[in-house]
Amino acid sequence: MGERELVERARAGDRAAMGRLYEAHAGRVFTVVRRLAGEHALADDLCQEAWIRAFRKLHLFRGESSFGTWMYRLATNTALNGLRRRNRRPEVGGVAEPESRATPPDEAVINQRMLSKALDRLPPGYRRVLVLHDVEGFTHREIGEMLGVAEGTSKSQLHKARARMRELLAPSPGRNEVENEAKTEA
Amino acid sequence: MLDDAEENAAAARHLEECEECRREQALLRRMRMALSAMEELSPPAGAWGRIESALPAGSGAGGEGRSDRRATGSVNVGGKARGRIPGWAAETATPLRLAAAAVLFLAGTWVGVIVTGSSSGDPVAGGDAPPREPAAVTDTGDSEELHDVPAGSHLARLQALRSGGPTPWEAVRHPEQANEYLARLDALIRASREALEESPADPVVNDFLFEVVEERNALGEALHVASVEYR
Repeated sequence: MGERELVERARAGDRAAMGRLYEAHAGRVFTVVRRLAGEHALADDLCQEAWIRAFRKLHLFRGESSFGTWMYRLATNTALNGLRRRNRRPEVGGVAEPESRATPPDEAVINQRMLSKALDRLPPGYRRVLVLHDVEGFTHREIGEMLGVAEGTSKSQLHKARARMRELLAPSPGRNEVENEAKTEA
Repeated sequence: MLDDAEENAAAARHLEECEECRREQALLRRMRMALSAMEELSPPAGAWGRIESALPAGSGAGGEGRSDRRATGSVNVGGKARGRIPGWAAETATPLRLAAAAVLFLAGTWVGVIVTGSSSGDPVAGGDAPPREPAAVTDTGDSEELHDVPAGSHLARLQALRSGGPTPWEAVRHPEQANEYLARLDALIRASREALEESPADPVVNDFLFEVVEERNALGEALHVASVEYR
């Protein structure tokens, strides 16, 4: 069954069709929301909000883009608005991060885990810009529109975010704190 | 990379001479590559079940039916998410349960959100939007945050309407204050729609309006007042 038909059935209230749309795009949606939120429980809640909103607003989906693209943008906006409302910061050393699907070699696992931990430790404003630009590939103009800031501000924040990430990840004589945590948990 | 070609050329010359900066650039490049290649995560187990159980009966056919409004909405008490309004609040039509749902709904993220009544002094009505100013950044060390609401933006003006008036708790407990609160929400809905006439694709204002309509209709049902449409 094609995506168009699934969307039509979901519009008509077909829960099975909704479930299939969810299965097809849940990973992508959760990934971007999790990266923006910086913590697992909050991301779960924001994703739930996004999916419910999507199925309620499905009549607004015109099919000019794929459902996945539409859902992805909706989830990103929902997450950003939700974070703005909550104005929360991630708890350091909070809920354990679930394993990703792949099982890469040890070094790559540490790097991915260090990267994830470092992202979670960034101040929320930095994290949003870094995730949107370097992880998700949005342009500064798009980020400006999504966050309601000037394009130059997005660039400036990105520069600072990268510098902060660099501090969190950089090797030092006493080793960086993120690497220490990753090795302790390994 | 720098924006200016001359700056790029100067940077390239410097990198040829400075090993420390070359190492730094290499590290940043690796970091950016790693960020762009971050693995996709799996949503938590049981997530679809929770989503499906929160969907009202007949959802997906328009999203603006009465049952939809009653069954959905954030319940966020004390800054911690408590999930959606349970299905029983959507299925039953008793005033007591609707009022309870309205209390839970209003006690969440909209605590303290007050709308001033529309008047000639309404900062949103009429006039051209002032030019967008760069957002201010507050440098507070680890808590450095981005004030991402430019002065003069639609969202800033809508948020400026929040001042004084009853809290959602007071609105539900005291009918005279509920009517005032309802009037303020109606004014905020009008202001949001005006803002959307200027920027119809603005996702922030769209979501702002959507949430205010949700809140207004939840309160309206508890007070047996006619609902409003999103548009």
